[in-house]
Amino acid sequence: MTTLLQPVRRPSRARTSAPPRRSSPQLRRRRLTEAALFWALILPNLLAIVVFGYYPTLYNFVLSFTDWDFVQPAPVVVGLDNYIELFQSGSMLMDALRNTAIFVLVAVVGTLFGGMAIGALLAQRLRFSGLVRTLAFAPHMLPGAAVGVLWLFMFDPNYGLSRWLFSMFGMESPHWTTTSDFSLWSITIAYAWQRLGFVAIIYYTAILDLPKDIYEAAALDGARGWPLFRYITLPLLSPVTFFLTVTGIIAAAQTFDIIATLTMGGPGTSSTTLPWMIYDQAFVDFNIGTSAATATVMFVLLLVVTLVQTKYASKQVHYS
Amino acid sequence: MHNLTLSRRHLLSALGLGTGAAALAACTGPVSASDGGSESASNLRSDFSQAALGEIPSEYSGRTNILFWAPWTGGLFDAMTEQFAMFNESQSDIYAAIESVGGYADLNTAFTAALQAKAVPDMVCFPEMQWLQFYFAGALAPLDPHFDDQWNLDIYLQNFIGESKAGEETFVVPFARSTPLFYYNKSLFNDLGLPVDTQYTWSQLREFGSEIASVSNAGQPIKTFAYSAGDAWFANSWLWAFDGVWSEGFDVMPDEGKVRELMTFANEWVHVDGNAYMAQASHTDFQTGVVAAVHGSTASMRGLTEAVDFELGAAFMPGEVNQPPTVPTGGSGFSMVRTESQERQDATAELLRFLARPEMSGKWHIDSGYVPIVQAAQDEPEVVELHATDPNFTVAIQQLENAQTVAPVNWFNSGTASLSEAFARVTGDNGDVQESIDTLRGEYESLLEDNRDDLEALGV
Repeated sequence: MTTLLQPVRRPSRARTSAPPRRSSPQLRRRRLTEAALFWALILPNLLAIVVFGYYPTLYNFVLSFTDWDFVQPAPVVVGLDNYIELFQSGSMLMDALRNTAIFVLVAVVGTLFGGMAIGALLAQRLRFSGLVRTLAFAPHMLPGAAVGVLWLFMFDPNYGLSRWLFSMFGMESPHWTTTSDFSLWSITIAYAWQRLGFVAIIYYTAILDLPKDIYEAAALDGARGWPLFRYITLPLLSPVTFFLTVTGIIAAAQTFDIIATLTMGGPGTSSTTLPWMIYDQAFVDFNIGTSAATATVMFVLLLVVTLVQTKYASKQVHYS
Repeated sequence: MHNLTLSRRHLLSALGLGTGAAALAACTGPVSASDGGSESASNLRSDFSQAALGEIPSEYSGRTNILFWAPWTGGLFDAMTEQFAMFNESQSDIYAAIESVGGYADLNTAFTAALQAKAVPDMVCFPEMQWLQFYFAGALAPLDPHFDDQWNLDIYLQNFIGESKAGEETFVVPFARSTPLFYYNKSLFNDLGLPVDTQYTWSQLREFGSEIASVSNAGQPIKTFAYSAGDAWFANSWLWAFDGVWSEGFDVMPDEGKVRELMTFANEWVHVDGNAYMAQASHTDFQTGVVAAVHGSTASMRGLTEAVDFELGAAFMPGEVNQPPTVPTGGSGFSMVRTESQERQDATAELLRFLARPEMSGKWHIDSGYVPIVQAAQDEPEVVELHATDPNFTVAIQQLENAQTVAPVNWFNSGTASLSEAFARVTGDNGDVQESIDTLRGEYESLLEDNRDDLEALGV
């Protein structure tokens, strides 16, 4: 038995005394073919990434040091002025950062909890679970603008679902999209509703794939209910939770269409998030430099958040 | 294979960095203020071609093709498309294509992007004074060389032609022009014994509040008036009614007391009386009877007339200190884009000439509600008949004598956005009036300062 536990030693190339073999023409041809195939497959994607990813990002970074209205023939270099202006007190950036943080936090945490609960329920294979699965996933298939319009009707305080719901308790519906107290919540609810089905389906399939033997062992040890979920299911789902958290934060932080249809960032700046501010600065105020500087700030923030998540994941996420 | 994989990865990394650097180097080189923005005196620009035109119907092949980006959708776009079809049928040399790009804001964005791409339409239609920024960028061609005895600025309603010129040249001919109107539920007003067909004041409407609220619609008391999120255009008339101005030259809100009075009035009507409110969709609420009155463009006349199932009333904008108040000119006019083609510019001028015929202007007025911008259109038999049968359409024309171009600070998209936001804070959020004024003042002053050179060049 002990010999089985000893590591297998592979012969080291450095220790071999044989001279290096010259590759045969067939081997060279094979390598050439492989290289050609590699380039043929990689080049279109590489070009797409460069043209639609790197170039706009770098161009945006350059524009962030300029003053331009997009109409004049060329931008004018202003150095760090746009960044200084952005971080001055009273700047719209502070409102946008706060709104983005609340929106992302509530939307991501809410959909993770809700999605996990729905996913776990679906995995019970109750009657009509197929239909429920389809219904739960359907909102994710809708374009954001359609979701916005749908919720615009539901939030309408005069004839929307909201009016009916609140009137059941003898209350008046809040003016969801036209008052600052509720506008941010209106976009958060609409967005979370759209994403919930996607998260639920991912959790549902992940739960179905969990190894049965671990559960059988846990059952033998008498584990059930919350402890089973807390100490077995949740850690096993951590790679999925990590994936959904990273993609969820990035997707939520980039939300635009629902805001455009529901509140247009208002009233005032009450529902202005970073993407809306970028749009507003670029295409309402035509301050391209400020808009580009805001986009750069957003890029850096998302990069930092993702790096922190990745570092955390290496310690806390269990892949097996 | 292991070595090969590594080398590929390194190669990819290196390529990624290399191409990134190349992309950075390829960015448009920013320039200093002194070497940018030079304009040519020519009406042509050799590097600006026509944007994609779409499929040309076979019966129009072989003609000179021109493209118009229309800032309308729905019924207005249908009405405009019909006029284009009539133009295409009326002659055999030119095919005029029309494409809807959405609304005015969409056109602004699309045309801005088109200028960057150097692929532009031949004709555009900007609201009020928003064409100025494109004029300053040298994107528009003067129309004067195409004018003759039949087609020139003299044929149009003269209230609107002041917004057509920069320097001595004409860059816009008025077309879909409007003023704001006060629309009310005449049936309800009659039922309650409230005055109709009269010049209202804002205070008078506020007094009607409790009486109007005594009637319910779907279990809710009917509100008197609905504000909305984008009220900047109407706010010009509100302040004129309260005897104030938003800006005078470069002086912002010279009499702040009038602005405070107006904003306090709006705030109290909503949050103290509770008879006005900030609507999500004011015209929808009006059509469904949730609210008794709204304001809207003359261009809403046709749509509202057909949508409501009660008698529609239309009146001048309410006054207060000034009755009737001055009202802002609104709507849009046609501009010709500087491109590489003289032939297409000549063809565009032919289209503009056709649309300025009295019968075409009259048809547009009937189909949309926009004012009959060509003076002679008011004598067209169909227009005369319309006004005889529906006096609401006449109200818009009668109010024209009170129409005036808005203050320079509201010529800009960002200025109107700031004004709308200021009122949204006061009416929607019950925000502090003085705080809203201070914020608006800061944004207005910064806007005027940013555009000082351009505005001074225009004589502001």
